[in-house]
Amino acid sequence: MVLSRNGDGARRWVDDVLGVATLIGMVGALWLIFIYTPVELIQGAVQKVFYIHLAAAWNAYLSFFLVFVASILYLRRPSPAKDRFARAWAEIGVVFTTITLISGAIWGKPIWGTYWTWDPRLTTTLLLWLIYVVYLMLRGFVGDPERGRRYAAIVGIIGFIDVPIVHMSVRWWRTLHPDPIVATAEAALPASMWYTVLYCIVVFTVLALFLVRQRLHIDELRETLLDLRTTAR
Amino acid sequence: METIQNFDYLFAAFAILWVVVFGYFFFLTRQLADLRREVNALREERENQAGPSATDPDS
Repeated sequence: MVLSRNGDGARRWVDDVLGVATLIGMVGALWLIFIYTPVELIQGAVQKVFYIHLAAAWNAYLSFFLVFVASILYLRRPSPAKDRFARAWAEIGVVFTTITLISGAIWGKPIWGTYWTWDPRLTTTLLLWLIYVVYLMLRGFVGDPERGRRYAAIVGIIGFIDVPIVHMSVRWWRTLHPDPIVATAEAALPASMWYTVLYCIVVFTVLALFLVRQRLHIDELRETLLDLRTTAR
Repeated sequence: METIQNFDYLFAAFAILWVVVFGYFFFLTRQLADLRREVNALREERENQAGPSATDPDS
């Protein structure tokens, strides 16, 4: 096979390990969510959406933080690898923010009586999603690729300001959304729910790593293709 | 105290999670497969053009 080059076998091995770990982890997460954790007294079964909602939100924060760091590094010393890294994590962040928004809306309907309300937490999260959608589209709008990467890095840095705003919105404004219950000193969750939510965060992080590796590989192959086409002329 | 049972919403939330994750994964794997095919075809084409004596140092 022509593509079997240095490192490609190792890459596939890591991808396979991450893929299998994600799959097993997901099955474990389903067992914990549906069998291990108790049904919440007031909200009933629908409260179990909480585990995926929170794990997705955590991964969105993590992804956008990595975009922020890579964007700073890119502006200090530009390199295509840093841009690729930032773009890949931005895409993963958008996927997880989409899951957060949709799962939150579905959870909100039976609990709040509506899928959507212009609540500070929901609105700032939607804004976060829009910022990074713009981030991903920006390169296409700017003719010069290098300038496009630079603009995207600036958006990646400024856009991250919304992450702490999203997180603190439930404390700063009157909101329907509950206060943070994981990163608090008080034990707001029973142990079984606490373990399950931590487990889901870990599994979703492994999933994010697996997906981001695929995304990075796509960009690398695109560059290889471009090189091959350029040298073929 | 009455417990709300909303299995429809629970099912919908998990269904959408799987659709988004697998949809995105499918989108990535298709792109990867297409790119791999194109890169392989171009490399083979170049190797054929270079002649049978040409060897790839990386393979």
